[in-house]
Amino acid sequence: MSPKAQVRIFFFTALLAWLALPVIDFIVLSGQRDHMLFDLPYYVKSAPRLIFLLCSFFAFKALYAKPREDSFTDLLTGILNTGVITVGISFTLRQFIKILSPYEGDFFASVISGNVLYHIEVALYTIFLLNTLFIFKKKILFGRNDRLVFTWRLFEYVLLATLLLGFFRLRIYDLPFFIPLILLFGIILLLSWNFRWIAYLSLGHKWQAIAILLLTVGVVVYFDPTFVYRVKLIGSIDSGNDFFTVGCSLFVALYATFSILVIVFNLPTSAVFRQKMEEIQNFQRLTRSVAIGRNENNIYEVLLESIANIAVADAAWIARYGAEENGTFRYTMNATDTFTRAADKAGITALAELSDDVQYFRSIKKKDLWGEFLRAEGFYSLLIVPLRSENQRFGTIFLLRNVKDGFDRENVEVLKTFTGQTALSLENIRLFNETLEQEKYLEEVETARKVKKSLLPERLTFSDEIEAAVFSRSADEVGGDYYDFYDNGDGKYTLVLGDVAGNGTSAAFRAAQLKGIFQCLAPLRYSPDQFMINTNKALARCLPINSFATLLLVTIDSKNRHLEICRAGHCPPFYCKAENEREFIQIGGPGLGIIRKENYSLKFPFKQYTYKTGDVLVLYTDGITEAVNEQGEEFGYARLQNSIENIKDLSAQAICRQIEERFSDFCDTRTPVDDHTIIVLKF
Amino acid sequence: MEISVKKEGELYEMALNGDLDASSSIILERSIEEALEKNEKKLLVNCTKLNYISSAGLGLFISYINDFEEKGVRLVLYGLSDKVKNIFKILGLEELITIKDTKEESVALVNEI
Repeated sequence: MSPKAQVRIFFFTALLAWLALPVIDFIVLSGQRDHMLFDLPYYVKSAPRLIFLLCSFFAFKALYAKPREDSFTDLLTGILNTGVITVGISFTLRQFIKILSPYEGDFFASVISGNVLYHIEVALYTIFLLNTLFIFKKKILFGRNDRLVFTWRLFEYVLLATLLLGFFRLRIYDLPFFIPLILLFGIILLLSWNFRWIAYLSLGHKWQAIAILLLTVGVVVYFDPTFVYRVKLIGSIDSGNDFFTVGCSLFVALYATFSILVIVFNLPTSAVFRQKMEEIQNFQRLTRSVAIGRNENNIYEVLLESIANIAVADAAWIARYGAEENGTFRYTMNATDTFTRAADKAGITALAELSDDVQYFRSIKKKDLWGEFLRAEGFYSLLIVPLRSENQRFGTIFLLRNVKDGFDRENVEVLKTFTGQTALSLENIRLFNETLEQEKYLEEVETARKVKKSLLPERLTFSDEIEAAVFSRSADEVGGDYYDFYDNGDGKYTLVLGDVAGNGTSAAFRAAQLKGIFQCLAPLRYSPDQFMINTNKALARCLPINSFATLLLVTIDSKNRHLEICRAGHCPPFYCKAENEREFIQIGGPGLGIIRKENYSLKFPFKQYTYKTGDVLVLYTDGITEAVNEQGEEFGYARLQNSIENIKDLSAQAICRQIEERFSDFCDTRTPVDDHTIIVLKF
Repeated sequence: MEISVKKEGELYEMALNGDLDASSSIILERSIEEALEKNEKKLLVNCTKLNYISSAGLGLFISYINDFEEKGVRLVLYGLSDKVKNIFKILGLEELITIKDTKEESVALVNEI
């Protein structure tokens, strides 16, 4: 059966039983009046009352069995409503009966005025009582545990037991009745000690609860549960002692009274509680503003408001480090910009620099400039809280009060936690922004890398008898190494290998400038030294003053097997002749872009060769020779020469690959710090 | 990289210790700027403990060549390791920047005129 149906059936049965009550009374009383010998048996007289109470009890039990999501205040409002309605009806009826009193002499009138009113009041009170009882049950069982549930169940059983005992005409002084009564009282006391729900009421709700609970006690007093003893006075039959009603009333009255007391004593703490709640909420707001806003300003604002509230400051401001305005940026509360600036001048900000910890001036003396200033403004205590994380100081918070000893030690602890949390948030925001920057940077680098790649020729192709191989790596994503070649069309070729100072994005773009210059000059067939002089001029105009480029120029005349090699500040190329003659070609001039004077007589001596089949020319950048291994040794010239000499009979590709392997082995786990390039020409 | 600055009469000496790369050349630049502000004319750079010089470090010296000439400032580097000296040599800076082996030679050079 659904709880709803249960409720209906119980209520309906209770109603029928209740309707029987005045009828039976009337029969019995009229029988007595007429001195008739007719009387109803005791159990017939008492049964309707038992059924009425029993069914009402189970009806309300079923009504509140469902775990409803009512708030505490909704439940209390339920008590208020039934209280007002039942008392309202009862009061109106009592007034009504008073008007009827002239007919008191009449038997039927007195039955109506007395007996019927009595039964109506019993019904009203039972409704109020049971409703309140089960609402209190919900409150008591809030945050339930097994023991509590067991006690409550016991309470219900004992209540029902008293009901039955009353039915069987046991008197209060009868021992079997006495024991359950003591038990009942004990259980009521035990149950009345559960007030967990009170802690969850807000301050306003607490006042409301006090009013409603007082009203509950008032209703109990109004109905006066002891009226069962007045039964005879109002002409009802004696249906045994109704300790069920008395027990319920006792419980309701006691629990209401206890609750009132607990709430009253709770009032001062609830103010503190509310403040703590606000602090927690502020923490949450702070965390939220980090998650949503990612805006430092927002965090500073929330922080200032929060801590000024916690500390109950009369004026407060944050001096922020490393911000736009004269190094400080202020968030103020009850303090004007003019005021904080003046405070700055008076040396308060300097005061903050003295310590990384909280500084508390309980009573500001007029002995310092800042003290005089603050006292003149009406402030007596000052609290300085640095806003710092482990790595960074973000700013300082200044809190002022216009009384001495204005800040609590406990609050200072809370402030410390709070500012610590905030500093952490700020640091997170900065880290986040840095990551964002990093992302942007990587994107830029990627673009630069693509540009750089497009600067270098895909392969070096000379006449058939000349083999060429290249190996080029960047230390960063983009490097300053640059090589290029130009085919003059009549068996003449120009090859360059250069290195622009620095590495990274800027070096790559300077390499692009170098390429422009090379591609312009190469078709003009300058002699190597003239080529260098012109390149120097051009670079001097476009490179920044602290930048330069080194360049190696090789012109090849494949018809005449003629070779010209010119060096401008670049690492000397290694020439390894077929017949065991080898040489680092040292001759040359300075790096390009270094000498910027127009009238400087710049010279680039160069070397000419007639190459033979089997000759090997190796060009490289300083990233090769200056690479350092784990022992701190440089790769150096000797190692380079050595690695070439033994394999000079291999193809250019193979030579290049083997040098590369040897180089990688040498560097081992260390990543080369500079860009490195090798070009091998085999004739 | 550490740079210690020492003043001996008219001499303004900077001793380099470590690697002179992009980040440390900023520090060296600051000391040189300081010397220029104080109107120092005789600058010595002690490179005895200079382990490595990158192109940024070279660029720094290069960028002052004209400046020094115009202001009549003499800059001498001394005590370079073979490795570092070779880097200067390859780049062709020997003729543009004065490099000496010892401090005595350097002092003698800046004091003549």
